[in-house]
Amino acid sequence: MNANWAEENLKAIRSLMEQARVYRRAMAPLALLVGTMGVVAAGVAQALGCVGPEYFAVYWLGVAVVSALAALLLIRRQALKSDEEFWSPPTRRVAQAMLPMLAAGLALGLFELLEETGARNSARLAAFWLILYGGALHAAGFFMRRGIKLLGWIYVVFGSFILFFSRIEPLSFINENTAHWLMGFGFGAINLAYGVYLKLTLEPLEIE
Amino acid sequence: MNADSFQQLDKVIHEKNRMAIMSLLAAIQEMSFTDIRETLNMTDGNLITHIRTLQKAGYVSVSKSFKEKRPLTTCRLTTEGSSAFSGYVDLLEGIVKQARKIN
Repeated sequence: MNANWAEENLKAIRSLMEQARVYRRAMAPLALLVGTMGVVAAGVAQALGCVGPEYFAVYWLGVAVVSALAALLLIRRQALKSDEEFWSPPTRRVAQAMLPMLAAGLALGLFELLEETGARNSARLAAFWLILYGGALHAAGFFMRRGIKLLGWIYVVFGSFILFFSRIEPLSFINENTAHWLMGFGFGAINLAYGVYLKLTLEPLEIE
Repeated sequence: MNADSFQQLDKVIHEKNRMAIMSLLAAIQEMSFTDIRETLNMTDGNLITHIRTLQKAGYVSVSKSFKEKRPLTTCRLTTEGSSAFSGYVDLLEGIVKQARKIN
């Protein structure tokens, strides 16, 4: 045994304590919030008739910004209630892990807006967004509970499915007219299902 | 380096898995059995064994309850456990400081 060993142990202790604090942030309300917003946004877009490539990218970029702000507010509320720092090192690490993929999603959305309406493809954009979101969740999973990594994979597989099968005749339902529902299912229903799963099984430490 | 410092390390905490359990509980006071198991990627049997050792030493208390009709086992750090863990961390920090002075 030597001082290096002691230092390693201290690092391990610090890392575990930080992980536990991230763990404490109740994931269920967050997943339920984002999921509900996804489903509602898809429904609203359909109801308002904002269907088509001219609306899709800008609409969902807006939804993403609103959802991100709502999620941050919820996390901040949880931190305040538990008397913890909002922008704590573990929260920062999770955000840093997710940021590259989310930034790539934003860039793709903006790039789509630069394209002529005729050259846009909403289902393909939805697929890329789902894949990138899955990548972001998977990266965050290195600092959070293991289920997040699996959820990330589900998004990657679902996005890839849309990407590859949108051109196959029997799956012709994957098109411009159903792109909002694909987003509603992906970002809404899957997040909702995850939130319900956490609520029913693994969330005993929600902050009062 | 003072070899006595290593001898003083609490033998109950001074085991990789138990140290990990204590670290989690020291951070947020209490955690469910399932959450500890998931976070540390331990098997049920392994975790139970270590929790029992910590319980015997008086460092961790275990309570059973129901949440939404499902059994919920919660582990909590006792006052004794909290001070033992602080002592353990202080000792490690002391060892590191001592080594830095020598170097």
